Amino acid sequence: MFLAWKEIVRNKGRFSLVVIMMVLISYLVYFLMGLAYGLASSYTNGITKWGADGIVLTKDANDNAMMSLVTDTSFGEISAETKARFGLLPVVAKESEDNKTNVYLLGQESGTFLWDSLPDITLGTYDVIADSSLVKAGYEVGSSVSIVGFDEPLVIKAFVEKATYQTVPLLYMDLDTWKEVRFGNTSTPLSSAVALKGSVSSVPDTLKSYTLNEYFNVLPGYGAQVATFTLMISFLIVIASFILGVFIYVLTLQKTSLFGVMKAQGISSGYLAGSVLSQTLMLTLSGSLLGFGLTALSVAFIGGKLPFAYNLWFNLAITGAFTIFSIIGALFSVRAVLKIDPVKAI
Amino acid sequence: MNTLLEAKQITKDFLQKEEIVHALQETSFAGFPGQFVAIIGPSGSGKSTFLTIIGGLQKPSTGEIILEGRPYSRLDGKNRSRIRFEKIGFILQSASLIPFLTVREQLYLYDRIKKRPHDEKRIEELSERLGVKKLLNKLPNQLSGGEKQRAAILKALYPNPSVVLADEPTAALDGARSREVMELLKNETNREGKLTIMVTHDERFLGLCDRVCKIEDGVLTDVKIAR
Repeated sequence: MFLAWKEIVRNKGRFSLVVIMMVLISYLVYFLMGLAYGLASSYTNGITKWGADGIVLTKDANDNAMMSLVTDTSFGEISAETKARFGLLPVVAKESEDNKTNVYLLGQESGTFLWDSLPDITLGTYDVIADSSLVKAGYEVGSSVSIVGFDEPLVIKAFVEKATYQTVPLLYMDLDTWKEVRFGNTSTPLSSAVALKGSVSSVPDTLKSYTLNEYFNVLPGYGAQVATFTLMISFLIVIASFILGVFIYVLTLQKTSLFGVMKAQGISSGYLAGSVLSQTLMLTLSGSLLGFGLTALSVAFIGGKLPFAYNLWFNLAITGAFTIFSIIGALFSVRAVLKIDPVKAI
Repeated sequence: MNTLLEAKQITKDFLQKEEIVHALQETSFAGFPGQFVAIIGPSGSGKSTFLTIIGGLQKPSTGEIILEGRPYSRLDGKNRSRIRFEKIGFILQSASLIPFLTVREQLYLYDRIKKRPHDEKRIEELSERLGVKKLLNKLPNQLSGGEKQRAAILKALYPNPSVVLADEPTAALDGARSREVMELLKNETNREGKLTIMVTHDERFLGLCDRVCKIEDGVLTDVKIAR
């Protein structure tokens, strides 16, 4: 530790170059991670709120909830611990000619677990709970929302954070209200899909059951987007660690004769190898810590304009991956240190 | 007087391009505390081989080195390294010092590895005697050649080893500086009761040595023994 630290302190120039490189790459990685996670959650967070374990659509819907219509009879034939119907409908909320917003109407069967995480307020027939992003579009509690193609204005009773589906804000409403918008009456025995919680024993042949993850992965664009970000992030981590590994390796080779002398003086290979490793760790951790700080700073400045979301575990995983890969890179140097023959020093 | 370091019939052979080179013929040697020994001889005569074997940097082909009554040349690299660390101080031609540590930190490094407290009193006394007290907080590249070698002596002596091995310690110095370094080595050897074995080309100051050995074609002979 002592040796590694002193070398860094006495060679600030060359080591700060490495740290700057680590900072820039880790900044990019943390930032991408936040964006990727934010974007991915804006696809799903409106319905992950439910705490459901699975979704059931009709087979003919081709994985698309918008195209699915589950009959009440089929719903009755689903045997699961807990089940609840819901309806999804993309509509345009029109405030004025210049202020139109795409929203999803999400009609939820009343009295079911779907409502558990939403504010506990009584909703009248045309009342909705809306995603807080609508505040930016000029809506507030008590505002009425005009839906293109539906005569009755809807009234926002409350806002909730992070209530989007496929990046579009949701309006939560009673399933009967939804049916009125969708079918023009409340008696049609159809809903879009069914959310399940707990164990599922069987679903009728005309329906298809998905776990929540399976369902998200068939959302258009979701899987491809997650895969793209994952690939970019993992490659960046490996590349950064590799560059750091090469740098440390070159420094180690430069110090071959010095390490030879130190070995002659009886300093163990283990101590020298430990010194190389701890130096790698110092550079990696300081680089990624600063990168993380920069990310936090950037988010503070541009927050809200981008779908950015923190996830402590993902950030820890990235830091862990940086650490592990740079240790692997440093192992080449450790091998070089172990091979140095002290006889050569004399 | 007790033998401090003994080489018993050691030899060293190398295989070089499928040819056996006898770097060191059968050699025996006994060194005592307080003795300042010079080993002279032409280049390639086996001087450095002898030094690296008694320093435990490599094993002899046959024979044994006994340090403070304990055989040690047959131990594995790790144990020899540990014994070097505790019992043997090395002074090299140049570059005995770590470039990014101050003179004082070079000494502290030893304490840190040994996990023992710093011995400020010894640092004070030794650096005073070696004339490097004012240089303790300087980095090696801020020192002149003579100062570097004096700092290297300080570094070698600080852990209080029983044997000091020096490889051409004056090779990079002019006459006045060489004499200074030689005198310091001699004084410390006698004063602290170390055995100092120095390989050198420099025959100008052999008068300072208690004993001079010559190695030629891998054979060691005594040239001069005082006392």
